[in-house]
Amino acid sequence: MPVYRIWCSIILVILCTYYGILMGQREKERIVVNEELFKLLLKLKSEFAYGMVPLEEAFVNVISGYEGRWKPLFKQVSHMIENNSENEKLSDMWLRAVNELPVAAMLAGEEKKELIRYGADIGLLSKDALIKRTQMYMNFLDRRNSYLYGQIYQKVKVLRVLGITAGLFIAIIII
Amino acid sequence: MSGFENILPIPLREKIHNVMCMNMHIEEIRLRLGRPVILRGSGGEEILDYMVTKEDINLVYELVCSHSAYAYEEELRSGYITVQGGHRVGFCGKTAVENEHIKAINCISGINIRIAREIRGCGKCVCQYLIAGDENDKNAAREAKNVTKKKRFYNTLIVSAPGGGKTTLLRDIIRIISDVYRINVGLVDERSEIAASYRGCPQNDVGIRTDIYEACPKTEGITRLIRTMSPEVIAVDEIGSKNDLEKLRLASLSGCGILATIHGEGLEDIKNNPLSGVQAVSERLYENELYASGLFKRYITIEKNHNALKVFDEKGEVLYAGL
Repeated sequence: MPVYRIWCSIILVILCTYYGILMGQREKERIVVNEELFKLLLKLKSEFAYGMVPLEEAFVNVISGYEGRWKPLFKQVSHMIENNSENEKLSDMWLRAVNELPVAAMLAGEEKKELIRYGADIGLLSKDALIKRTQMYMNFLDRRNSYLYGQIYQKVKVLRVLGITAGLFIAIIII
Repeated sequence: MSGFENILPIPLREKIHNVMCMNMHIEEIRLRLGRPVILRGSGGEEILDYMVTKEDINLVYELVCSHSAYAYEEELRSGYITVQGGHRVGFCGKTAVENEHIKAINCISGINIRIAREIRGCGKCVCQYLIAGDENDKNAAREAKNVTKKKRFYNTLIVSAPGGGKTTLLRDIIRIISDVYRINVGLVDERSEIAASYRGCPQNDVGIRTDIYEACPKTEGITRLIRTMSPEVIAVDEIGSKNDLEKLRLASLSGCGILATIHGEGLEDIKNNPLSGVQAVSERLYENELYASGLFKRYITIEKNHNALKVFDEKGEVLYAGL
């Protein structure tokens, strides 16, 4: 048996195993990303309740001291509101910002839809309604994370095993 | 356009721009749901070929609130919001009432955008007559560098018919006495028309030594100013009740000068008991109590048709007459 085939097989097994581990990590990352957003929304709720400042200022206050993955979203929307020479609606600006956000690619379909829906609602609500809407979105994130936590260990195991198995399978075929 | 274009839909903005290119000075833009846009100004009225839709109303509302309706609840309850540039946007529509007070305006059907207009220098010719010791010095208001000693301000009342320019004149006098005469002025801007603050920043120039209480009832604002800001002059717009007069009298007893405006056809309107015209003035102020109170030492009248300004002393003698 040629040596290169053995080496190819070993590399393939390692790569597939690594890919499986990476997918598992990504699932864990989703939980972390949702938790980060949850904390930002908690701060935002306080801004709405006590700060009573316009949205662009509330967003800037919320991301002050925060360097995580959601910062570009709030920063961009705040900037768009301030420089809205085309007189766009908030829902359009928010949608554009979400679509350009790198971390949005990590979100499941329903999570992204809910994020877009939240941005479309917050411009025209009264203070009480806005606080309740924010709380509603936070409850959604909480439920999602509880679901993901319940699933995460099984998912990570399955993905790792799949990775190893796929690698071995391809190695056997090659050999 | 002076900043109000930021709250208009783009197609409407272009039509208004065309009208302004024809040298029409716009004072008001009226948007009524399902009806054409109407512009009102110095040249009369212009009806645009643009029908206002629900989307237009919603967009203007969203832009005026900076996409933050929750932050403007108090202003919306009052029915108007001041935007950047000092322009006032009034709303009307179906109201939600609770305990006989308007809680919110739903289903906005009409928007009135009043374009801010500041005329700097319109009070220059009268200010010297309002400061003790400066009546004979014609150059007093212009020579800021020569004002080394603080001057005493005569309690002054500006009288004019509605739309005569009282608020514009009041604003400029506040600016001059604050900047030129270095007097600390406390301004109670009850309807956000004088300073027209946007996010706390006055959009009209009211002077560097002016403290502003915005969207605050006059009586409350006067009390707080005296208690906290040590004003040398208190300025209010449109006194209209015995309470206002009483509060101003107390302020005067505290050592503050008073600068106020009131609706009226002229000095005779305040002196006598009119049976027509601005009769409500006398009824509210118990006939000629305002004039007889002795609170005011200077009266400025503005005649709307002729744009004529006159300054009277407390005896009714003319100190200045001009345009």
